[in-house]
Amino acid sequence: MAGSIASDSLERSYDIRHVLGTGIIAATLYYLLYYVEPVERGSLGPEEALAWLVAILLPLALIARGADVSKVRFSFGWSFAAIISYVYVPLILLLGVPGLPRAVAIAITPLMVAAFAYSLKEFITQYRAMKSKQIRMPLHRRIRSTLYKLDLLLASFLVGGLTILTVFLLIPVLLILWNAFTPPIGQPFYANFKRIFTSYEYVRLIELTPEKPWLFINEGGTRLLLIKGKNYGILLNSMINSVIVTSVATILGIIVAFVLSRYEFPGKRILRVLALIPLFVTPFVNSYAIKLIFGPTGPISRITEILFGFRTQIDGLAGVTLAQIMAFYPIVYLNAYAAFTSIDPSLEEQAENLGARGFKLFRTVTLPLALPGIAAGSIIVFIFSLEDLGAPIVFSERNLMSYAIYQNFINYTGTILPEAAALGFVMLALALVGFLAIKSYVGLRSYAMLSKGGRWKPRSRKLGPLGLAAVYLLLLPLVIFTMMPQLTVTMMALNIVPANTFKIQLGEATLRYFLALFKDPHLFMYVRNTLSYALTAVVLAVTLSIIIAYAVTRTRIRFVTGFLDALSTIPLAIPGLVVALGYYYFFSSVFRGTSLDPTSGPTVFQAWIVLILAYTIRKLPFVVRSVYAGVQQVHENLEEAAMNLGATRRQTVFGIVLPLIVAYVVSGAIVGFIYISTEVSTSITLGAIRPDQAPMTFYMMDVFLGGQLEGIQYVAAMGLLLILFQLIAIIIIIYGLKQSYAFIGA
Amino acid sequence: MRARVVVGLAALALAFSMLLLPLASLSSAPTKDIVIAGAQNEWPWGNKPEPFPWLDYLKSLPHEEGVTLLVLTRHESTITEKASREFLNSEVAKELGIKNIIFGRSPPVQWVDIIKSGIERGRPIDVAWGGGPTLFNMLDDQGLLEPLNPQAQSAYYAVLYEASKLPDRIGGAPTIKYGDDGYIHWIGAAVSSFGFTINTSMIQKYDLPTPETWEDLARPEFAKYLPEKELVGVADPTKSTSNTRMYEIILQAYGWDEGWKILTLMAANSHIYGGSSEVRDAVIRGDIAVGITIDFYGYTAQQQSPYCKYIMPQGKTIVNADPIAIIKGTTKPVQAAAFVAWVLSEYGGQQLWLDKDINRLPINPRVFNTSVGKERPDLYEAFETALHAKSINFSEKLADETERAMQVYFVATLIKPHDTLQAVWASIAKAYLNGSITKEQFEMLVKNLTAPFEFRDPLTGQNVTFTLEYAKTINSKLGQPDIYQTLMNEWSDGATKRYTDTLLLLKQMLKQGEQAGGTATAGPTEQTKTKTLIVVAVGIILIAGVAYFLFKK
Repeated sequence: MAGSIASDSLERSYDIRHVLGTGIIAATLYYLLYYVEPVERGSLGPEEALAWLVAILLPLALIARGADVSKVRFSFGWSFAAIISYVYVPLILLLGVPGLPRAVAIAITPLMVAAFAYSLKEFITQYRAMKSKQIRMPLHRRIRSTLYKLDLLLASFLVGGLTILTVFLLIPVLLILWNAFTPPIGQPFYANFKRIFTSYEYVRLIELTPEKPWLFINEGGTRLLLIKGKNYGILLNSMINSVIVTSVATILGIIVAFVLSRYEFPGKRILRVLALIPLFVTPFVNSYAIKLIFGPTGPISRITEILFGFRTQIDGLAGVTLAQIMAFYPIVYLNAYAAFTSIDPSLEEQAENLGARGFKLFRTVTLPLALPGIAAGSIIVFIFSLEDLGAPIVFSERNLMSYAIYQNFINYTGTILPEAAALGFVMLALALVGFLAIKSYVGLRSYAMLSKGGRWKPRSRKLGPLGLAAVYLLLLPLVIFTMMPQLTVTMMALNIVPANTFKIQLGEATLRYFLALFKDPHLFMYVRNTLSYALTAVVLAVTLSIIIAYAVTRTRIRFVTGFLDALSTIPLAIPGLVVALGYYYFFSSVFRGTSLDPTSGPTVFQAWIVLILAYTIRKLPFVVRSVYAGVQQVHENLEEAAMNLGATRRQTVFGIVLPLIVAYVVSGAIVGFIYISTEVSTSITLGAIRPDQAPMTFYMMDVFLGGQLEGIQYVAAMGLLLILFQLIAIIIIIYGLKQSYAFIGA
Repeated sequence: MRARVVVGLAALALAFSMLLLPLASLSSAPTKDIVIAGAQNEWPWGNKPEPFPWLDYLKSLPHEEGVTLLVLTRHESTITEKASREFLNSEVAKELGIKNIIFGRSPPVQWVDIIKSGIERGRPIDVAWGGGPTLFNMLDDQGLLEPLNPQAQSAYYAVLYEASKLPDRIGGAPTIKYGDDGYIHWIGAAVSSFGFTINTSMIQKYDLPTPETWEDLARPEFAKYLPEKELVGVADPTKSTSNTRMYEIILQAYGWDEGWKILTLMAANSHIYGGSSEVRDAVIRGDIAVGITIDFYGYTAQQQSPYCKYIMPQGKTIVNADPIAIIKGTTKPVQAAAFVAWVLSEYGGQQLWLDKDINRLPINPRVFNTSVGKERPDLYEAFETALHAKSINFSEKLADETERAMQVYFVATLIKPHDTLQAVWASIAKAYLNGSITKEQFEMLVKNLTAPFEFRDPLTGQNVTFTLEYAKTINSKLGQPDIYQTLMNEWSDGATKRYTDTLLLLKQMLKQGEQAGGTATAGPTEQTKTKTLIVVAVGIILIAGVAYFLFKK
C-alpha cells in the first residue's frame, strides 16, 4: 500500500483537506478509545499518544511530500480555523480536558502543524531574501538616519509618550505578575497559576451528580422553566461564556448589518435608528432590566405561560450570557455596517459577472471583504465579555473570573489574595491572545479596493415578499427585543416600571427620580464626580493622544515607534479589572504612605487622582485612533513647506497640524467621554475605597450590592442620564462633525 | 480493554502502511424600667426644654466654625445620606458651625489603621458610628475611643444627658460600655437583633416547613430542588458584618462543632449572596423562601411585601446595641459631642431609624412618643419584643478572637466549593426524602459531610483540624498573604475532598440498597462487551472510510 502511494504522488496532489483528514482519523481513534474506557483528565495513555502522533506526523509527512497548504494562510476559512487551533489546542492540553473537546483538539492539530510549517517555510525564504539584499551601513550613518528630522519637540513627544505609558501602564501590569508569584508556603513559585489551571474550583470537568442546564420546577401548581446554565469552573465558565457571547453577537451583528445595509424596504430608516438603541451603555441597570424581563413575572414568562403553559426564568450563567449578548452585539453591528457599506461595489459586480450569486457571493466576496471590520468588533466583544462585572454582579454569579477577581477588592479582610493577581494575569493573557490572534488574522486580509472610501451609490435592492416577511417577522422583533433593556431602564427611571417586578404602570409616571439626580446633593455628588473626572480624563487623553499620534506618524525609529504605537493601542485588550489590580499594587507600593496609597484609608486616599489616571490610560485607544486618523490625513509636505519658510516645529504642530485635525480631535474626545463616563471596573474597585469621591457607576453598583430600596429607580435615572449623554454624542458626531459614528474603529 | 487493543492495533497498522514511519512505543435578659440617671438640675444648662437643651451650652464652649466632621461608619448609604441631610439641616449643625459631614465606609479590619493614620496626618476621625459591639470593643482595647469625661471636656455633658435616656439593658445586652476608668466609652445608638426573614408565599408554593430557629434552615426539605433552585439565602461573611455576626451567634448558641454542622448544611441549602441586602431583596422578590437577615432588614421586608415576616429565633439569638463613640484625638470635640448627642436624641437621629427605608429599632424609647414615632406602631411592638427577648450568653471576646479565622474558613470550605457541597448535600437529602436511605444512614452521611477534616498547619507543619483553639491561634496570622493563601488552598481542597468522599459513601449505600432490593440489571461485563463490539465495528468503518476518501484516485 505504501508503495502505491509513492508511485501515485506524481499524478495527484494533496491539499489542506487531506491534512485535516489525518486529524479526523486521529481524533476518531482517540474518541473511540475514550468511549470504551473514559480516562481521567490529564492522563496520557499510550493509545492517546498514538493519536497525537498521527495528528502531528501525518500532516508533516504530507507536507514533506509536497502537499499544498498555502490555504492555511490565504483562505478565509482555513486560516481562521488555523488561528483557532493555535489557541484551542494548547488550552485543551493545559487544562487536560478529556473527551469530545480533546478529540476536536486532535482533529484540528494538523491545521496547527500545517500553519506552523508554512510560516516557518515563509520565514526562511524571506530571511534568505533579506540577507542577500542587505546593504551594510556604517553605524554613525544609521544613527544619523534615525535622528533625521528628530528635533527637540518631536523627541520630547516620543520620550514623554513612552514614559507616561511605561509608568502608568506597563509597570502596574508587571506588578500584578510580581504579586501573582507569591506562592502559598512550601509551594513552588508558580503554584497560584497551577491552581487556576488544575483545581476543581476553576476547572470543573467531572460532574459529581447529574447537572442540567435547565429544568422544570413545580412551583405550587404552576410549572417554571428555569434556565441557569452549567458550572464548568471559574476559568472554563469565563472562556465558554465569552466564546458564546462573541459568536452569537457576531452572527447577530452581521445579519442585522447586512440586511440594513443591502436591502431596501419600507421602514428601513426607523429600523436603523432602533438598531442603534441597544448601543447605549447603562452599566448594571441594563442587566437588571434583562433579569426582570426574563424573570418569573416578566413578559417572556407571560408569553410562554400563554403559549405553552409554563413560566420561564433565566438566571445564573445563562442570564449573564444573555445580558452580554444583548449589550454587546451592537458593537459588531456598527462595525459590520460600516464595513459592508465601504465595500467597493465593482468587486461584487465582477463576482456576479463570474457567476457567483446568493450565499456564495456573500461567503466568498462580501464577507471576506468586510471581515477586518467585523473581526475588530468581535474581539472587542470578547474582551468586554471577559471583563464584564455588571451582569455577574446583577445575576450574583460568582463562578466567573471577573467576579472572582472583584471579590478581592470588596473582601473586608483587606488583603488581595495572590491568587487573584494570578487570575488577573490569566485574564490579561486570554484577552491578549485573542486580540493578537485576531490582529494577525485580520492583518493578512486587508484587501486593496480600488476606490475605497469613495462615494458610490451603495448596492442595495428591494426585498421580495418573502424577504419582507422575514424582515418584519424576524428582524424587527429581534431589534425591538434587543432594545428592551434600554426601554425598561428609561421606564424605570420614570417609575413606569416599578423596581422589583415587571409591570407597566403609566399612572405612576414621575420625573422625581431623574430630577433628584440634580436636586439631591448626595446623588448630584456622583453625577458631578463622573462629569468632572470624565472631562479631566478626556483633556488628558486628548493631549496624550496628540503627542503619541504625532510622534508615531512623524518618526521612523526602529522598535521605538512601533513600541509606542503598540502601547497606545494595547489598553484596548487589557481588561479593566487588570488595570484596577495593577493600579492597586502600583499605588500601594510605589506611593506607599502618600495620599495616593489606596490602603491609607477613606479619609486620606485621594481616589479621584487615581481614577482620572486610570480612565485616561484605559480609554486612550479610543481617542488615539481618532486623532491618529486625523494626523495621517495631514500631508507631511504641508509641514515641510512651513518649516522651509522658517516655522519652528512648535509653530508647525500648533499652527498647521492642530487646526487641520480639530474635527478628529473633537470626535475622539466625545467617544472618549462616553467610554469614560460609563466605565465600571476601576470605578467600583478603586472608587469603593473612597465612596465620597466615587463616580456614578460606583453608586449604581452600591445599590445592587449595598442595597437601597428606592435606589434602583435612581440608578435607572442615572442610566437615563448616560443614555442622554450618548444620544447627544451621536448627534454631534453625525450631524455636527459629519463623521460616521463607529464606536470602535477597525 | 480488549477493544482499546484492537482499535489501537488497527490504527497502528494503518499508520504503518501509510507512512512507513517507525512508531516508537511511547511510555508512555430580664427587663428593666426606663431609668433616667441624674436629677434635672445636675446638667450645666439647667432646665431647658427639649429638643436639644444642651445646644446653647455647647455654643458657649470654645469651638471652631465651618468645620467638617469625619465619621467612620459601617452604616449603608441610605442611612448615612439621610443622616447627613437631616443633621446638616438641623439647628445643631447650623448653630455650631458644622459645614459638612463626611462618612467613610471601610472594612472593619482597616479601622484601626485608618484612625491611626488620620491622627498622624493631622486629619483625625471624629466619630465612629455603627458596626457592632465587637468592632467597638476592639477599638476600645486599642485605646482609640475617647472616655467621656465631662471634667476634661464639658461638651460631653450633652452626650451623657442623651445617654441617660436609654434603658440600661436591652434583651440582656448592655446599652452603654463603661471603661475601667469608670467613664462611658461607647453608647448604643440603635438596637439590633438577628434572625431570618421568610417569604410565606414561597414557603407555601414549595411546600416547606416554616422555620423557627437556625437549625431548621439546615433541614433536608430545603434541599428538595437543589442544586437548580435554592430556597435559602445567606451572605458571604467577608462582605457582611451582620451575616458574620449571625454565624458567630450560631457557633456560640450551638457550640463550635455542632455550629459548623448547622452552618455547613445551611450554606449547602443556600444561595450565597454578595451582601446582606441582596439576601433581603431576594426574599422580598420571592427568589428564595428564607434569608438570614439583621432585624431591620426583616422589618423593611415586612414593609415591602405582605408575604414577608421577620423571625427571631427565641433563645438562640442575641439582641445588642449598635454603638457610636467619639474617637480619641478629635480636634473638634464640641461638634463631635453634638453629633453623638444628636444621634441619640429622640428629636434627632433616633427618628432616622423610623424612616420607611431604614426601619431600624431606636434605642431611645422616648422617640415613640414623638409624632414621627407614633406613626410606627409596628416598630414599637418590635422594640418591646426586643426589650424582653431571650438572648444567649454571647461572648464578644470569643467572637472577636476567632472572627477572621471563621470568615476565611467559611469562604474556603463553604463558598469556594459551594457547588460541590450543594450537589452532594442535594443527593443525600433527596435520597433521604424519597426513602432510598434510612434515617441512620442519613445521619451518618451528614456527620461525614460536616465533620472537621485534617489539614497541614503552615505554622507548625503538623496535621490539625479546625478546632476552636486552632481558630484562636491562626486568627491574627491571616493578614499575611502567604499564610492566607496557603490556608485558603488547604481548607478548600480539604473540604472538597470531604464532600466528594461523602458522595462516594452515598453511592455505595445506594448500590447496597439496590442489591438488597434485588434489582438486577445487565452485568457490567456484558455491557462493556457490547460497547466494545460497536466501537470496533464503527472504528474500522470510519477509519477505512476516511482513508478511502483521502487516498482514492
